[in-house]
Amino acid sequence: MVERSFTEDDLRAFVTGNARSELARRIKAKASTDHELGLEIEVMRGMIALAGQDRAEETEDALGWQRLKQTLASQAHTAPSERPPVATPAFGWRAAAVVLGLLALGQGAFIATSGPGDEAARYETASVPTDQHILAVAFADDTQVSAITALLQTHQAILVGGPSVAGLYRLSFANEDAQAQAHAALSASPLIRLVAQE
Amino acid sequence: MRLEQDIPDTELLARIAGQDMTAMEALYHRHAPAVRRFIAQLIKDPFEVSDVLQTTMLDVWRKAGSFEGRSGGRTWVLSIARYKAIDHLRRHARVAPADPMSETLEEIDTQSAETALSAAQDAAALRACIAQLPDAQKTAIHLAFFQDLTYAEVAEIEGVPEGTVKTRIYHAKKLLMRCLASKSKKD
Repeated sequence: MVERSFTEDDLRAFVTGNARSELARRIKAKASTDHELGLEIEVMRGMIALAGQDRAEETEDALGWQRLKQTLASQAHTAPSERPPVATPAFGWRAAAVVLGLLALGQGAFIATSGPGDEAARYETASVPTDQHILAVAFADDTQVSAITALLQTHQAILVGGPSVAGLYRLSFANEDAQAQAHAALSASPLIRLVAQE
Repeated sequence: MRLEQDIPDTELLARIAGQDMTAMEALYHRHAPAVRRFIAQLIKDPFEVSDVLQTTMLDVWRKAGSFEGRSGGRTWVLSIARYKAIDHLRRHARVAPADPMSETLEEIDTQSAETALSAAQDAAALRACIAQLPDAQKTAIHLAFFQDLTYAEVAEIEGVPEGTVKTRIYHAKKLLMRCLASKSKKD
């Protein structure tokens, strides 16, 4: 590593406006003649600006919270010694009832596996077969939960994930034929805004 | 009466340890967007990001009682998220991108540095270069600059000495500078 005039702490303090005036003056003076240092400072400032953009674009994660809440609620009904055997993924306010319906069919469950000594439990989607036949779908905004439930049952679709940041849900099918048939039918359904094959 | 947003993380976590769902909701809304962004640095599929966020928050709920308050609440949550993301990648046997940036550091000549300055101000170019960083450096950069954590907090999350974090940041910046210089030459 080349010898440096300033430490990482110095430079970070400078770009965040927290450097003492003497340090700031020295860095400014050096950067005016040392183009590499000037670029390094510009890169750091650029990253801080990007972080600001990202924060401004953050959206409320209400659907994610609803999904977690459903999971926690399902665990609350379980004896502590057995917890968490089955966590219920709820995929948003509109899909919550769908998930409950799917659970009634014994599908779409997350299973947490944790052995003695495991620092953290591992979660796996139990219902997704190894050879996945997945469609990503977006439901129309005004779709009723009961209609979604019926639609999924008609096509024997299992809700296995989502929503993504784009509001897409993942539906799993037993095989390629079922997936293809559902793709055609869902594409034509007014309940579905978007269908895409993964 | 205090609003939920005024309650410190340590207090929320103590309440979560007592199975307080209202506290969990407050903590979730406070940190989920940042945790999601952090996970998305490591995992590209947005579905998988959502799932890892969920498992992270499940662990927060289950393990809040083990939070000792030696670190900040956000640092603790991000530590869990990092573990979950890496575990997820390991279980799915993800490999690193075929052509990540070489970690060989070369000096950048004055002319390249001058032309790269404009690229550094181009958000898309900078973002593209960050995405190409080796994972360890990308994570350090994300935690320090995008999550605005101190180097000591980054070290705690990564489980490495603070000096290692600074070295990773240093190397990452050099690679970014070289990447930007390369982009500006192509334009």
